[in-house]
Amino acid sequence: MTFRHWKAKLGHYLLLVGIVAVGVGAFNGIRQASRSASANFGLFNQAVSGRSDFLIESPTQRFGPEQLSSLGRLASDPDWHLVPVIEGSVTSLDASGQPASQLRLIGLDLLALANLPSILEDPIEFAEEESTWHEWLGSAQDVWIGRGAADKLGVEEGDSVSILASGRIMEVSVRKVLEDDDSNLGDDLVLGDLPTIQALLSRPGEVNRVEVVLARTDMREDRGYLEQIRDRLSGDLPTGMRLSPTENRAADRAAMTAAFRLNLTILSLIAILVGAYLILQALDAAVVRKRTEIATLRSLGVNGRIIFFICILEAGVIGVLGSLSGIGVGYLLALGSVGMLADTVNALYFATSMEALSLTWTDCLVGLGIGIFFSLLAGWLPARDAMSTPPAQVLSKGDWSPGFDWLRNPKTGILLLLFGALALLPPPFMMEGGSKMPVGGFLAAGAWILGAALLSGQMLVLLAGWLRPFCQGPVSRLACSRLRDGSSRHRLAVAGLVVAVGMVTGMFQMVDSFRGTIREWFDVRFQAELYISERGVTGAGNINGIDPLLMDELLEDPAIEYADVMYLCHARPKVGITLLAGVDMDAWSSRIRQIWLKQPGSLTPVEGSEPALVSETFARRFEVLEGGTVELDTPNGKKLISPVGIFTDYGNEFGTAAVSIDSWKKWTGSDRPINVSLYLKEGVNTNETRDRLRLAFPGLEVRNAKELREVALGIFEQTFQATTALNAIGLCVAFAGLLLGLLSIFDESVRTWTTLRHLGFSNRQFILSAGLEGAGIALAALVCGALAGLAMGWLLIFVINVQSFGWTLLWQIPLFDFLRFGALLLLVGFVSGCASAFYWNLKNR
Amino acid sequence: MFPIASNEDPGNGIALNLSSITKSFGEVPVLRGVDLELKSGERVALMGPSGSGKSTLLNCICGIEPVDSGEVRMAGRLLGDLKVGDLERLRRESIGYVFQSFHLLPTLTAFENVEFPAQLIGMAKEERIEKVKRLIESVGLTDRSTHLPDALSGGERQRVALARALIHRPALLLADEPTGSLDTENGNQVLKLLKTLSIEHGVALLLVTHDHASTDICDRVISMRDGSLIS
Amino acid sequence: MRITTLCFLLLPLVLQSEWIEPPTRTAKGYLVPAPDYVPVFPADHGSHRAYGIEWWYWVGHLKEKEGEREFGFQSTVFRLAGDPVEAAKPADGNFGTRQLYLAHSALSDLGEKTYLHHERVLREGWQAKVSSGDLAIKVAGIEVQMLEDGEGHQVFSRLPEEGMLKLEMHPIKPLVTFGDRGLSRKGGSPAAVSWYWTYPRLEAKGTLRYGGEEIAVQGTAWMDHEISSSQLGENLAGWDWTCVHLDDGTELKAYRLRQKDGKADPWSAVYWIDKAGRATSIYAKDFTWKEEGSWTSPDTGLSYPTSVRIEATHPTRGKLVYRIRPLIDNQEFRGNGRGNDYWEGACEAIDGNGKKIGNAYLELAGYGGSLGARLN
Repeated sequence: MTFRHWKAKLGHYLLLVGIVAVGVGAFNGIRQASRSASANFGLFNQAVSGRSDFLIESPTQRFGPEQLSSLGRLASDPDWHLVPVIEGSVTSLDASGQPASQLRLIGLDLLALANLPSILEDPIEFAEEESTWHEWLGSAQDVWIGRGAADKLGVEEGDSVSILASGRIMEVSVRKVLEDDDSNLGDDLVLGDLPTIQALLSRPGEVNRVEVVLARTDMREDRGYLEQIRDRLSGDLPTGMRLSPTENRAADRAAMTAAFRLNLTILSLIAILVGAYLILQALDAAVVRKRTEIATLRSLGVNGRIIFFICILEAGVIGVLGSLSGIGVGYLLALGSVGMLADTVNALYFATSMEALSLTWTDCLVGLGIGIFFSLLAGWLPARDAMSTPPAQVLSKGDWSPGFDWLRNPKTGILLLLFGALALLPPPFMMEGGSKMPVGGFLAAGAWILGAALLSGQMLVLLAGWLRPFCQGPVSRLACSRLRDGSSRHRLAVAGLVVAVGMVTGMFQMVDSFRGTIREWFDVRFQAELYISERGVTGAGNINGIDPLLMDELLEDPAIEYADVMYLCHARPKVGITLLAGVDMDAWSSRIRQIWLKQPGSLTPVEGSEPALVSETFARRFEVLEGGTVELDTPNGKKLISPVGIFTDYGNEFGTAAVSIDSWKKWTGSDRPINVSLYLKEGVNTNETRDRLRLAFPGLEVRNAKELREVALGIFEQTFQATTALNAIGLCVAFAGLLLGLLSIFDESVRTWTTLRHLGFSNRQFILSAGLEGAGIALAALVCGALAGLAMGWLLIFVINVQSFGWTLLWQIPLFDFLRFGALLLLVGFVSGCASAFYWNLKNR
Repeated sequence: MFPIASNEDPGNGIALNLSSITKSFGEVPVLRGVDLELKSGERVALMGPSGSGKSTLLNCICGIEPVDSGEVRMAGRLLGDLKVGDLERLRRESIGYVFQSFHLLPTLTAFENVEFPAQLIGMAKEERIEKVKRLIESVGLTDRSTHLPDALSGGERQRVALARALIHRPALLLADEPTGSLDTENGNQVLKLLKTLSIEHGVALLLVTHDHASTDICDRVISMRDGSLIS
Repeated sequence: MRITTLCFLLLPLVLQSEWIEPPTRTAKGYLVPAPDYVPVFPADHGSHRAYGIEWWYWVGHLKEKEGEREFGFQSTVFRLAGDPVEAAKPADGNFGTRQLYLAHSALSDLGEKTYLHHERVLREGWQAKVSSGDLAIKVAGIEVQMLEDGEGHQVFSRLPEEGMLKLEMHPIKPLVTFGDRGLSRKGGSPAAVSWYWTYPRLEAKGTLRYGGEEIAVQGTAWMDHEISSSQLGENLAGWDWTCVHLDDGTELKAYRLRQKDGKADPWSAVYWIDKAGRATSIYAKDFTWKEEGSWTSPDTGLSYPTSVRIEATHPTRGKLVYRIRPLIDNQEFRGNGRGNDYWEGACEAIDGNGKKIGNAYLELAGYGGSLGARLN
């Protein structure tokens, strides 16, 4: 019987399968894309040197020559290979000298590669066979690239490429294009001999890390053996270095982007939740259509449970078919969005190159699980509805609608609101890597949205009652009376829309608040005339630093009154990662404007520790809002810092601790600044100075305050691209749900339409009435959804953001956007009503 | 255009004229050459067993079902010449319908249900309210006028339906088994009201029934069998 | 040490072949070892950067001090110069481009018949440093330094699975320089000459860590230090080489330079070193090198003639027969790269009657590909 319905309404059921596919696809797609976009956690060299088993890192992720030499003895053990790696982000220049694409320069000891198991197994042809060892290394400018990179840059063997590196323009020459059939080499990867890359990055003698590759690759999965190796390595490791399994790095990087990816995942859940709502509407409509048949079966004595089972089975089949398609849809969506996500990770966190998108068994299982679960969940209500259909004799007496008493009962909604409030009481959950997950915040959000959805039926009836006196004509009176009646189907329709409206209006507030806060922060914080940084590179994790010699040259410019030079590197607290800055502490405390949470000097530093100015995120993360100490691992040993002031900073979510430049240099053993803010002398023309410096230092980015602000806001907008996209998907699904819901409502009011027809109600009046009904549902959803959205906004800004990122934002409610959205919603509601009525009319003529 | 004042009689005393109406659904003939004439104010009972085509005939009369052949004339106008909008207007202005299962609009009160057709034809508010009150009074439901249909008994609902069918002073009242869902007492009450009000309003009545007792209120009884009328 | 060594330097007693004057530099530009050069120690124990190829080579037989177990060992450090102009300059940083080193270490467990070996290829830098003024080598897992007495030296070799061999070696006999006017010739090409300095017999004592056990060992070792810029004539495919510690306190060194057609090159030679450390040599026309048995590697498929019969006519002692037999068949050193495989193993030397007359090491090189092109 069920499959005959499928055959008769194939298009309809295919649509349902499609809805599940979109929901599953959105969820899975985001998962895959964000995994791929941030999967390659900086170990780009592994495409060449193969999988490593451990990492030796310094807390600042830099090793100097002495530190590397100190590893010589450890390196001589035949049971492993130590692979030093240097990497840095640079930008290629196009023919007109403009930055074109970001590239990863990777430096490996190409000669020592010959020892590695991966190379032994699968040799790479770096040069012609007959070259001698020193001939094939080539000149100091020679690099190797994969086919993908060659195509992207439009170069072949022997061609030159200009790059911006560490503030200078350099030339590299393509020695050979490595044919990479498995596409393991990213299309932004440039490989060179280690000393070549050190020179290109102006980092003589430096490496980023040393990877450990086991000689016995067959023992890689043997935990006991790995433990042994780890003990041996740790035993001989020089001080200031740490050893960790390679997965930890992936875990670290995963932790760095955890909050970002979690937010994306939660957003993608909206798509599937709203999709579930749509399925519910559609399956519900199917039950309505089959009402007579079901009633007949009941009157023939068929048990309600069997009917329930049949409906659930139908939902399950839709779930399975939809999930299977959704896995494919997800892959396509991921293909489309991975670039955007990678750009975001690149912009905000660290260089990442997209790993080839992969579809794993886990993806398939997750997709199937999610799709089937939500389909069954969505099918439960209609199945219950079908099960409670009375026999045909009862049905013949009039329009019948399932009771859904719980929808009419406000108790559940109120309870959910209370639960949400209580969920805010416990503290956030600590995640690996030191970041926090605001579980209470997310629970409250879910509870409040659901609560609002359940109470929206009450709102519908209330609104209809208020509007009743204004509805004098037959059309408006009919529509208003139907809304005021508040049937279960009407309530269901409103509830579904409330979820989407609540999330969207909540996100409006968050984005707007963010934007407003950053603008305000900019206005206060960035008072210098010019800002100088490495050209073409973004992301905190892409720090190369500017060549110190270049910086010295720049600072001699006579137009400069004061230069605020900043040094920056990663640092390791007990858990996770943070940033350590070296700044002019006096200037930061007095001359340079900040938005202070705690003024410098208001906190007393702990004796024996280094005084530091810390960001709000840092202070919240390490719980030093009222002072205290934080221990950081540096190449010079463990250091204690103690905050003397707390500033607001929206540059990153890991926290920044700023100490004096001297201390920074001593602790890190580096002298590479990351940027400088220039305060020019009185009377000096800012833009002229900017232009002059640009010419003199073509490898440096020189911006005035306005330009810097535009860039920063651009990055900000990029962050929310994914959010906006998911919002749009959620809304589209919600509107589709409204359409289906209205159709369902009309299907159940056949008697009323028959009567009206006999009474001479015209088609036009019928459609208009339906339109008003749709608009009424949309209005109720708007009011409830907006209230829920305000609550969402508050949650996002004051709870979720603070707990996830440690940022205080200024709450802004974008009234104009709200109103515009409201008007759109009402219009869509009206049009949906009209469209449903038109379609229904056509069907039933 | 159809005249608004439905009790005008451009049909020269003939409220309804059917000639040689045939109608089939697929291969199945339902009406086979039906001829019927109803004078203004005349009350005619149409009797026949289930499946004889009575309800189909009613639907053809009010233009909801098109006929395959033959003519339906109402107050001198041929239904076949009318467009969809005109047919809707015809139903609004010239026909009153009483259903077996009442067919009240469930979300409107009794008062609002009766008022509804008057609103549809654009009757002025004061006039409308006045008329509704009087009609409701005449069917004995003044105290129940603010109740929704769910709160009314079967008999009460049918009385509301009757009032609704007459509020706009139609030329023709079609009643399809009006007592079919009622007990004897309520049924008799409704029949009595049907007769009284149709005389009072000068409305031609075509009463479809299979209950002989119902025919007492009518001037004429016609039988229908297998899609044909038998006098 | 310097003076002592100088005093003990002796040239071969018999010069058998024509003199071919070597050029100053090879075609590629590397310096060619000059004739009549008198090495100065300890400086000449160090690296000769301007020359193309160099190696320091130790092999020997060891016995457990308190026990019956016997081992053979090999530790070799090779140097290949880079660009001829740059190579002579001092080391350049942690990732130099001037010199390339290979470290080979191997251990043969003669009782268990097992063989393990290990290769690392490294550029000069943080993992490979060789002094130019002294015997001080640190290349991957091989570390060598002079002992404080100025005579002996310590060789430390790391082996897989936390293995290690640490030996202190003292020369029992003085250093021998092979060849005519101090140049050992390896073929007809004028530049195919080397300085070839050998301690033919050293007393070796030390510790072997193997199979989780620390074993005190002692035995006899052989050390070669060879410097050249063109190790083989271009027409040559490889060589078969052996050194023998005879039980009578003398030593034998013999090598067959194999031409591409399989024949022995005229510059193949046999050396006898007497108890006083004096060397006597003959060339190809006065000896034969016959293959008496071979072994095919299941890993590389190469076939090595691991049993050989050398019949040599000593200038004064007449015809002498030496048969070399491997103590373990599989002593194939498989390098990281293709074509770097060779056989180097602990053997015994027996006479024509089958009686054991000494311990030997046999090296069979070039069976996987033409070494001539690579060592020129």
